[in-house]
Amino acid sequence: MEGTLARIAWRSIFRNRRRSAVIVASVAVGVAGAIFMNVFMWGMAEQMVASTVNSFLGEIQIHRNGFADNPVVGLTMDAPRPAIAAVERLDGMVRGYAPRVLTRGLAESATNASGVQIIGVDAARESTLTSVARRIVDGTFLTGRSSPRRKEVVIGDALAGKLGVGVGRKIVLVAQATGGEMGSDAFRVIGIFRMPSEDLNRTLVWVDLADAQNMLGIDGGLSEVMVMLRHEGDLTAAQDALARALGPAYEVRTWREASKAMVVLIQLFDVSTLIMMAIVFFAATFGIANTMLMAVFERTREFGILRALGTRPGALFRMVIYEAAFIGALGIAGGMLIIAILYVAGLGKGLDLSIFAQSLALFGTDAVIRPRLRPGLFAVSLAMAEAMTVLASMWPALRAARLQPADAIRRQ
Amino acid sequence: MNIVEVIGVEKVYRTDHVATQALRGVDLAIGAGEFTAIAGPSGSGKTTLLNLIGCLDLPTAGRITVAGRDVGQLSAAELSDLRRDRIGFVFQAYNLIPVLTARENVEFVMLLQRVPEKERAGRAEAILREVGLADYLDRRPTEMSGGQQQRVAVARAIASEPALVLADEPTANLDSTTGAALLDLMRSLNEEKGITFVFSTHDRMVMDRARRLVSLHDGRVAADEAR
Repeated sequence: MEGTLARIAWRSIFRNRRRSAVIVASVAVGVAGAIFMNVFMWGMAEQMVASTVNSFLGEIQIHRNGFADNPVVGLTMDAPRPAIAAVERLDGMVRGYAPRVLTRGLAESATNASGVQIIGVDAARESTLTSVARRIVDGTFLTGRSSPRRKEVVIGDALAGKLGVGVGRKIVLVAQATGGEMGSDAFRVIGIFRMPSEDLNRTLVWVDLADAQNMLGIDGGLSEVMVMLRHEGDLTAAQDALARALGPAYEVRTWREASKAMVVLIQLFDVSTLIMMAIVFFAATFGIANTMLMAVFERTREFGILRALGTRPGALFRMVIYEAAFIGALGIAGGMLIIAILYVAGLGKGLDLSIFAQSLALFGTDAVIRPRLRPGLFAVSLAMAEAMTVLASMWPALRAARLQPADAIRRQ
Repeated sequence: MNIVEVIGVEKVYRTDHVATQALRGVDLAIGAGEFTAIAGPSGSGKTTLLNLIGCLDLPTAGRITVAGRDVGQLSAAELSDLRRDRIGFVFQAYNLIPVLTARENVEFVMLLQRVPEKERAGRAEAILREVGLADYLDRRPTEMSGGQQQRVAVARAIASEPALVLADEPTANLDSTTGAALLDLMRSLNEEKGITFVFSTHDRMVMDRARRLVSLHDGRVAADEAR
């Protein structure tokens, strides 16, 4: 029975090809729009995460317990060997790790001063794991040949502008050292970077690990071991393994915990994408409902005959719903075809939003947003499209099912 | 044995402002194997009577039994099932399902009756051959003439092996030659298979072929003569 109802429903789509084409097109445009929003919003979100994770944060951070909430020199890992050993034991999951000294401080030039985040790093490890070395726009990244007479520092272009310095000029870094003393040193700017995030350009300064340790008086100590993984999917497993290995004396945080604001922003992206999709589809349902109502009205007599022959109201209801479901499926296929064509035509290379480059920088993304598909949200988009099409046909289907045979047959 | 019994049936159609009495106390019995025409001018109530016998509508007063069942006591679902199993319809405007082929149209009611696929296909093909449409099995209604479509409608009506076939003005949209051929077909089905036919008509051709003629006038049986 269902097969025949489906057959009637499918063939009925082609009774009025023009009208069916209009409904299918409206669903297709809605689906294409939803997929477009999905892939580019997620592409933007991914770039934001990548910018944050790759530029500075890393995927996992190991600290002495309490450091994240109170990043003081007193919570330095004086003997960081156990943390490094635990990371090395995760060899299969880990792409690399970088020892760091982190402290808040002040950067001063002859003309200005600015609050900064000082990061002391192993230049060789850091340059393979984070993107800062590739973001140098003037000079070079840390060479690893910093000496007491020529201490190297790399700063962001925004900070350079604020301090009025360039490559070759000197700045003084000041921070809280051990024993309540203030540590300070003069550093020569050897490189200037520019990252998508203006905030990072304004606040981060990179110095050699040993120079930072000397300045703070924490000989051999580390604030953080930053870890990057081979596969993003291993994040939770790696965190769990490290936390078990290191125990309560340490805190092991993922980037999600380190940057809750980023997580909230991505959740907002997801929610706003879903809301926009829902609005697009909801608007389309009115047109679909109206058209299906017309189609049912035109076939009133036919439905009356079907009832006269003994078809139950439920079967008529299902037949109209099947027709809507087929139209939805055709619309979805059409929408995916539109996107495929656009993708091949150039959208796959990314959406160039250079005119909004400044605003995008606030989010930490590049001017070219590359599309990224998230299977879950993609499936939700398609399901939403199909559900809306079927929902739009509920009232027409109910009308068809409620027809009285004698009245319906009398209609011309 | 009577297939249909109509006892004191009245039917009033009410709208917001007007009440129209279509039937005013009709008594009628249709026996098995009859070939009966219900005739009368427009507005005499013949289509209304046919609709009531066909369980497409319910009387305002009175009682109707079809195949031994009092239709006034049945739910909408039971009426639907009664139509499916016991009554075949042939309408003036053919009313085939336009997106189904002749074979699929004839199979449709058997599908509702859950007749197995092989049996359904065999019966549909046999019946379509019987009505002279062996070469039109896979044609859609739009690919057939009016007379051919009406033959498919007759085939559909008898495929479910109903107790009776109700034909409402079946020749109204056909030319005289085609109409005559259709009537002869239905007459032969009646004589050879004993299928009961009840027509609503004002077509002389139908009235002449009927073995019983019930005349309606202003919602009442004016005459009831055997031929």
